[in-house]
Amino acid sequence: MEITANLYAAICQVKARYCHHLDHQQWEAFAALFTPDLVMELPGVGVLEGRDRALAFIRQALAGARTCHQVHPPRLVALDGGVEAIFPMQDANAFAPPRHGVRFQRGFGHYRERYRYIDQGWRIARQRLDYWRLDLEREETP
Amino acid sequence: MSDPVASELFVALCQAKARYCHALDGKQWDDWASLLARECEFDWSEDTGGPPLRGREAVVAFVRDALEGATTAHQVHLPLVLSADDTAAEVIFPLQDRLVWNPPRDGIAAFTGYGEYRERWIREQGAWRIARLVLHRFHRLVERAP
Repeated sequence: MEITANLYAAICQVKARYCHHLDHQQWEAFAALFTPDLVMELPGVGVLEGRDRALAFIRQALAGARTCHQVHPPRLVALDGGVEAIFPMQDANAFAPPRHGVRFQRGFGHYRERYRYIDQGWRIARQRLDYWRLDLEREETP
Repeated sequence: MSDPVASELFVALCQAKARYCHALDGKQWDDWASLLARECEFDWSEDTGGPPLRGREAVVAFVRDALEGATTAHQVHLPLVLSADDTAAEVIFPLQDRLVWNPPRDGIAAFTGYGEYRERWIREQGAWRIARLVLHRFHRLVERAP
């Protein structure tokens, strides 16, 4: 497989959708972006196996949170039967009430992902998020 | 579900929006105006509380005044193309912007925003231009003057 301009645009669209549906908490549309055998690895959480399990976790973790995920142009590498993508990212998440004392956090990192083409669309089969840096604003102690 | 957005369109919209941000932060108002449709409508009501502005001249005059004395950095991220044909496109551009006023203006020294532009682009005189823009915010971080 070769990284063509159309493939680049298609992968970028999936990731743009990922951010949009995640931040608007549109969970059905969000779920459709993943393969059923998704493996997701999140900082401080570990490995979540299976789309349903991973999404149930995210949904619960973001209840009451206001999130904003933003991604930058990716590095794409063609693999046998798929595409590997490295997306630079930043997020800004507000928690009300504060979570573990944190009311606002800004993260700077990258997603490492594997995409597979199934059911007429590119979908995320593996995802690992690593932060280079996490800035935390804690609630003021009285 | 699949997003068969043509790469030509994706690149064209990214280029037009990159030019929009560059011209805006560089205060190159003629260049910025060339990216707006003549009959455009801009809705920043989440920020300003005011009604939408209509018409290219009114929008440019408003932004020019609002950013007077401000150093600004508008940065957009990968766009989501919701629908598109040869003449029009509905697009969401994620935005992070930072504005700094020195000296402060109306008691505000700086602002950092996280949000998204919801836009309708049209082909006008052979170029992609913004016909409608609505700004939606996830976070507004205001730094008041000491």
